[in-house]
Amino acid sequence: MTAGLDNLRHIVVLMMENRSFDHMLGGLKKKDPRINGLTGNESNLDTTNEPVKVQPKAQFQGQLDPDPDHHFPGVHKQLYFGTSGPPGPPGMGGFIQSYFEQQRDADHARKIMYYFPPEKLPVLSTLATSFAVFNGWFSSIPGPTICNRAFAHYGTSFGKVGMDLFYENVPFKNIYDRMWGAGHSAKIYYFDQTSSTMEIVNLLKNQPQNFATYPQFLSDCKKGLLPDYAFLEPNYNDHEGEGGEELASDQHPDHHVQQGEIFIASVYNAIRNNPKLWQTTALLVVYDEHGGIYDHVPPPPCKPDGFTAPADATGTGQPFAFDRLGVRVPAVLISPWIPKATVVAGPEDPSSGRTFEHASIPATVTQHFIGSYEERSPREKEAETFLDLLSDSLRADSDCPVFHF
Amino acid sequence: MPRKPSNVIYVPKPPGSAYAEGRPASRLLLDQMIHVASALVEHLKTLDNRRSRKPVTEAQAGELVRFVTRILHPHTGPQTRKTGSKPGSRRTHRRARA
Repeated sequence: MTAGLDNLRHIVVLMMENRSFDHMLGGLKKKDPRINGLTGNESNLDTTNEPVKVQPKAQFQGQLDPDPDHHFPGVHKQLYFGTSGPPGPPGMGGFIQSYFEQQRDADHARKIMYYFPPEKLPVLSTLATSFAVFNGWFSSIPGPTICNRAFAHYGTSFGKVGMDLFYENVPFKNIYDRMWGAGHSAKIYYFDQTSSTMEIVNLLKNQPQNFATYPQFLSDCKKGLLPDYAFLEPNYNDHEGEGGEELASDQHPDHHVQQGEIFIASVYNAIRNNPKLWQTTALLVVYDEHGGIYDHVPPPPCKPDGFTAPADATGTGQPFAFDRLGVRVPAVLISPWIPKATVVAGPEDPSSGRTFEHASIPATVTQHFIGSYEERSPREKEAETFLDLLSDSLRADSDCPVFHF
Repeated sequence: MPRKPSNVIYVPKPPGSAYAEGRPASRLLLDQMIHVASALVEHLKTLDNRRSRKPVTEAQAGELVRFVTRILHPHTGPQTRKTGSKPGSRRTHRRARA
């Protein structure tokens, strides 16, 4: 066991909304070729059959309106347009075609290929290049928010591929019940009561044990009262709060991306500003799914989950056996025990690359805090865990970024 | 002028125009509305089940009434009542009824 792992007392997960890896971090390849981002030559055919290359023209707001399709049939088109479809490999060629269907506007549809240059995202880019960035972290399902978030809590969505939030009478316990049952503490912190939670409704009923608000998270960090495992939710809507206007910080299109940057930075600062907490915490920043936005890496096959979504649920005319992953998303692991500029190889490295998905979250938390635990989904049992990235060397404070805003 | 430490990153804030509470809700938020409302209905069923159990205390009845009233009348603010909450006043009330 490394010193970093030996010192680890808290795992914190911040799950943002609906942005692909290439859209947010693809521009980093020019700075560090180990990062599996964009060369600038990746393209999709537009509706006039002209190839449209990726471009660093992503804007913080106003560009992805309407919200790009990211439900199962839409993602199916994004992945398999121009191919024979599964079980063959995805061609990643249907993103413009899919977005065009929403407005029938060819110029607008091309914007789905835009990405942020690193300097426009100083928080996420800095964290990715200062700590560990995953080249191969994929959403769990080629579909929308809720079923993907279910994998972060249960290690499976129990056969669901849509937005149903009811996960009652399911065969496996969520990570919070597992933790409390093993004598550990765990909490979901949502932003405030107006934003509330996007997580599973039957979890919501278990208040107050499982839930608290973001101000409470800040207080818990300051006082050293953070639970062993904490899952954070950003603000999902613009609303009037106690302190005035609260901007949505989830980065879901068409919410302002810079507010999400500030939120990520505030979570990081809250942990970093308590020296004891900083040295004993691993923070994972990850996105639930790609939000219909272009990524160039084909999602790989995976172990079937033991569940099957019927054809009428997938909307593609074919059932889905949970035997392949969704589109790649940004994921960054942060700890002073992680060597600077760690890049975790993904599918681009067939010999040593590793594939992560949201089932990796409960798999890692269970492994670290609970140990052997049999009653889990096949996907979670197979999922890669990520705490081996913590080393024996504690980095100096001056070597870790500080955010001011 | 002191040099900025190399590890300090300044994060720009979005403009005030980014706030748009009149923006149409995404499908995600529409689904959240449906699910939260469904969770409330389920919760009310749980509370309503208590009505059939005997005995029901005044506190239990008040809990349900307060829960629903807070939803229906959010503008009325905190419902903690100070008058009559002192032990002395309760004793007085019991004597009066006896």
